[in-house]
Amino acid sequence: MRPRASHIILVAAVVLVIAILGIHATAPILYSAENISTDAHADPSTIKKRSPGDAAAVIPLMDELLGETGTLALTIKLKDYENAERDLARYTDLSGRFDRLVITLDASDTDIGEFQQKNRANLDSLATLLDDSRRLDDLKRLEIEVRGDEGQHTAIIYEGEALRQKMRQSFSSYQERETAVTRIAGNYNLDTTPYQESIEDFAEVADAADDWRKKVGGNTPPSPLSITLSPTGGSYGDTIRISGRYTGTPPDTPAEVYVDSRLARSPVFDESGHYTCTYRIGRISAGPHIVYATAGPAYSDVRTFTVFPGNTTLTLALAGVNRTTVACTGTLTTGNRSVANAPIALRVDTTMLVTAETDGNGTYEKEITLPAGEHTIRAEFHGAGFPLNLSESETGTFHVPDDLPSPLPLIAGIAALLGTGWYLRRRQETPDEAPPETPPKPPEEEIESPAIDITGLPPRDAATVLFHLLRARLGLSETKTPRDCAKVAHARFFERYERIRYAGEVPTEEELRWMEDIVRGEDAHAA
Amino acid sequence: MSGGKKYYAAAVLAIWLIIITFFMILNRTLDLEVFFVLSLIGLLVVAVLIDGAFSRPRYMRYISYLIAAGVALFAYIVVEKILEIIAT
Repeated sequence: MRPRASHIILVAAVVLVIAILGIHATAPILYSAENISTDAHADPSTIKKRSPGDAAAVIPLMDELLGETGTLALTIKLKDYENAERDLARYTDLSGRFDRLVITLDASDTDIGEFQQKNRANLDSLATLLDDSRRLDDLKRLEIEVRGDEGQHTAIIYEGEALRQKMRQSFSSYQERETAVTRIAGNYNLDTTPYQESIEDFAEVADAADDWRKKVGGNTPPSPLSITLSPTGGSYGDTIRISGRYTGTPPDTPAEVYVDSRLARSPVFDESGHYTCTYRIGRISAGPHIVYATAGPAYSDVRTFTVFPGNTTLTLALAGVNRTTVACTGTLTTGNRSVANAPIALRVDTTMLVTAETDGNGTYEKEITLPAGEHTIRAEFHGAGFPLNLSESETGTFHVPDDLPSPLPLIAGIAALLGTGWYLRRRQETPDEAPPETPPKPPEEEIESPAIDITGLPPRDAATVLFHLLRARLGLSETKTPRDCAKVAHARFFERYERIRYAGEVPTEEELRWMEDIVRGEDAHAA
Repeated sequence: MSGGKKYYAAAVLAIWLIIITFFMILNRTLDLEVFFVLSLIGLLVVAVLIDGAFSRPRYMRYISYLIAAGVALFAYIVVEKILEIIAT
């Protein structure tokens, strides 16, 4: 009964183990340090030293960014535009790295996040300063070339005036950020000297534009074309009404309204010489922008409007398209307005970035094919080129089920199992199929009973003597084992002897007498 | 001695499995496929060492069935790996 119970326990344990292994058969890697599923299973030695490393890199990077402002402003002031381009590219690269770092460390709501916004604005200001400074040099050269041509000279003076005002506005914005940037830099013991110097250099460049403007024509001739903006400031989606009047007979051609020196609208004059158009604030950076109008040779005064940055809200909804593809949809809004044609970055598992773009309704949609496993997806809007602050959606999760095993290896496995079974079976059957080595056994009666003397021998040795005698009596070869002999005759005798010989069992006196009887041929039922 | 041979074999096999597990943990990877293949190798070695020349105990027949199943599963893993390599 006890062996039976132990067998049942053994079978149950085997079945349990096989069931547990079967559950993991499709994903045999139970644990891998590099492929951790949860933070609880994280192996500290294999986790990328991202957080401490990144955190340690933030402060030096902030220091570098402040240093770059000084270098860039100086090269612009020296009109070394080639080096300035190189410095700007480096500054842009560093700013990009810093932006990613802030997002990685989730430090958007800290003073580091504030520093990031100010730095981004500084980058825009210095990039604009470089363009404006180049344009001012071009205007200076053109002004000399067109002296004598009143029409073109006036156009250049107006362009110069527009540029001067723009540079002045840009400098004001740059200077306004000094307090905040210096305060944050002070919190981290950063050297702000290069940044302070950049403000001075910026001021010198803006002053140079003022000086040139005074030199070439401080008194702008009164223009017959007027311009009015209403309102003079707004956020994304707001509309600026631009209107004016041409005193006298307006030209036949429509007026041209320029925003930041780019043609934005071409309104037509009415009978009384009035023109009106609207400008919707869209993909344009936050801050001051310059507007002026032209009508033939006449240029209006230069006006400015300010674009205020707005906060955004980004949503994300995940829906499975099929087993491996997920559809990511959502909307980007600022206030109650949707943001059109805005780039959206979908961050999958905090590493992979997939880009999408909002349509006219502020809705985006992107289908992403993912490998098997649990995936997190988050939508991000970085606000580049828009007067909008960056925003992130809630993080969604999507589970891609494991692939079902291919039937081909299953079939191959079954075939291999059957093949192995067939081979083993054939191997076992081969000795039986072979022709018998000895002639058919003669009848027992024809062989004389051998003399038996097992007196005084130990029981197991006595059993061995009886085995040898019976094997000899049956005429079997001495190479035959008890199992071989059991196939010929007296199976019970030979199986019992096998257990005595190989399992170490000791025969009883009664068993020895029974075996002796068989050897003598007296047990008629033994065979 | 002959009767205890199978128990020695079972003990050696258990020690081998523990050694495999120990080194897999040391390597920070628990892969059932690797574990299975190394276990099968251990079983094959033990089966060869305990197999006698003139007799074939019953437990050897059972071990041969186990080896047959293991070899079939091993063939399945090999075919699957080959298909993976071909697919990439």
